[in-house]
Amino acid sequence: MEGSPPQLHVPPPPALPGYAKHLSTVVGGFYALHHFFQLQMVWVVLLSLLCYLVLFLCRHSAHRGVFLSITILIYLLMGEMHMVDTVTWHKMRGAQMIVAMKAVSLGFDLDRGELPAVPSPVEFMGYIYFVGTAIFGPWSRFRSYLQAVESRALSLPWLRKVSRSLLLSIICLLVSTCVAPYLFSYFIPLYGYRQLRKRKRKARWLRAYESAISFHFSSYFVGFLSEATATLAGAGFTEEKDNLKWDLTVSRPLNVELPRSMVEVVTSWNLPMSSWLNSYVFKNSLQLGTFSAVIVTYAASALLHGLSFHLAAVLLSLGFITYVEHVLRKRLSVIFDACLLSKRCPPGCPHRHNTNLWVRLLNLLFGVLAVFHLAYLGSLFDIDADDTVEEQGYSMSYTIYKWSELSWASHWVTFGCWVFYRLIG
Amino acid sequence: MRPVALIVGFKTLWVLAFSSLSNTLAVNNSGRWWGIINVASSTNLLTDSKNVQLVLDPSLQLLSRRQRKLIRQNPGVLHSVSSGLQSAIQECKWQFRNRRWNCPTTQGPHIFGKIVNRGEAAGGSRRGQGSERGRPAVIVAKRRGKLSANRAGPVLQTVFSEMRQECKCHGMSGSCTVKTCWMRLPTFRTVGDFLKDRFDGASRVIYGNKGSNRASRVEGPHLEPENPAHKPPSLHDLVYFEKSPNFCTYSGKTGMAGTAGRFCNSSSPALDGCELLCCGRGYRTRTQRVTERCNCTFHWCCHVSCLNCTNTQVLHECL
Repeated sequence: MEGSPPQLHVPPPPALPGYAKHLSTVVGGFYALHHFFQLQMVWVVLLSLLCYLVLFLCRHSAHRGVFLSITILIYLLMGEMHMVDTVTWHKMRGAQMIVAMKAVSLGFDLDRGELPAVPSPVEFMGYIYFVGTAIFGPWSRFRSYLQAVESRALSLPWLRKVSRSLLLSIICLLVSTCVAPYLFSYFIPLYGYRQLRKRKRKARWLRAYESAISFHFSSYFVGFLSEATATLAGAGFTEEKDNLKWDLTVSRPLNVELPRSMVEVVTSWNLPMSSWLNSYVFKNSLQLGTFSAVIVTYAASALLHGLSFHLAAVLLSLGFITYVEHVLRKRLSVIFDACLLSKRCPPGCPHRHNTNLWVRLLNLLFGVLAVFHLAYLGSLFDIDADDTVEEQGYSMSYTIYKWSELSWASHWVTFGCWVFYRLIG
Repeated sequence: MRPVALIVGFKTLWVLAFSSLSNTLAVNNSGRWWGIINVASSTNLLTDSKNVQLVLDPSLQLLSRRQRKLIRQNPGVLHSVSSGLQSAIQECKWQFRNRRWNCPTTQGPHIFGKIVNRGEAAGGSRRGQGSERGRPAVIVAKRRGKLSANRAGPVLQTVFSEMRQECKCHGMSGSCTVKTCWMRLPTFRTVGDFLKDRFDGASRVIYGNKGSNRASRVEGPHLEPENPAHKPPSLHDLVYFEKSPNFCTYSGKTGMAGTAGRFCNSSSPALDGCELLCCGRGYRTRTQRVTERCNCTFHWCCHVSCLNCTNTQVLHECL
């Protein structure tokens, strides 16, 4: 620039060719993966190569989604069967889950004709290793990846969104590590720290709640962090006409901590994940019947999370709990003609009773029941558990021990609700 | 255990900070500063944040000027120091519960009695606790020359070497993509056990006259085991110069109450056995009927009913 006359108009730099952009996201993703997993990242790379191979081989088939799902299923099962050592596998689980979700969604989107053609290898790898979502997620569609690569101008709302997410993630990390484990001994001093660890019944429930809160906030931390990384990388916006909104939301902590229903909890836990499960598993398996579809969905989720016994137990229990809650509340809302459904009623809802005190009280009761279920389920993720246990996943005996300590209360309550539902039906 | 350990650990550190100060600055009244435990626990002068009163309080004259300055700068510290001291005394009583010297404490500024201030001429007792074995003194604390990193001696070393790393996993649904880790301090009991272990292995030393004058001026006096067959003490060992009194009978000079009236274990051949604890004076045996509540059951709601159980206890008491 030196010596040249001052220019009033700087021409825009020539646009990068598409493949260069995809390649750069691959490089960024590889760097991030290597930073977090070092050489263990080969397992993720292997999975992605396998996926593209299958996609390429079945490029003329109409069931690419199914083939990809089966490939991933076999790969994950082999990994779970101790093909890889447990600690490594457990560490890679999150990244693998993202790859699996992206590949399966791509396959089904192609089958449904939502995407015109099988993406080129560079595009595919760029999508899989997109630097903003490779480590912590969240899952995003291929279409939104393409939009992100097209790139939008960085603006003040973008910066605001990133800093908000980062700040919230740090706060959640702090709560998870430093506040939740001492919630009932220091922050709300109901019991002494040691008393809480004695095996008294009431203390056990308080401990379970502490563990659950700690686990929840750890998950929100990852959620907000993934929001931040994805937004930083230029993804996670919606466009309405000319209005660009950076509104990626991964989890809604308030809906989980102060829930209306368990259904609300499981959707607010990880919104992209639940939308993925909804559109690629639940809708595809609806032909089996609602209950079977619910169970298949939770089974798929358990498989994606790694086939550890405790996660499968939690997710299947969640399946039963949400199903029973859903049908019971539906029946009650019909009987009383009131807004008692698992989901919040829209403003102009057809029920007669909407804002009465007893309706609110009943909803509150279901909310309290949801908190009770959450404490019960969360008790498994004990903060005092051994580090090796946490790194390798919890075993079956541990799950059974923890739940029998709480006398299987949540399962009994769910069973009771189901019996009640059959009685009034 | 975590926060307890942490808090206890902080207390330990405070105690250590103070005791090391007391070693360097107030050698001549080492042990006296323990008396602030009575100050802090008997009055509520600390609850108001006005530290003027603190400074004027005559009981705080037990502290050196630098310690008082520390307290003036951090008004809450005295609370922590006081509760740290209480834990330390509890631990001392627990560790020494079976010995003739069972860590007796008194009200007033000399909390361990006169025994602590004896033998100051030999260099000041680091732990301030005499015993049958002698009063251990930390060798490093004696070296008046170079007292750099190891000044705090075995206590801090234990606190740091017994620290354990704890981690928590964060990742999608509990996977271990990232971990947050922190160091957890050992429990007070761990440090107490470690020090008691060192105490049991403490050996008597004498000033050696090996080495040139120049070396001894730089490093301080050279310590040799009294028994030439023993290894020379390392930096981590507890040593003592002076034999302790036997603590058997009342002695006005040391301020010891003696072991008369202590309960002993008739079947034990160790230090808590009647033979050793009563110093051969014999013991009297009496039976005592103790009524306790037992077989308690909880009735919904909210009532607890118990039975009264009467047990006969056999007690041996030193003459």
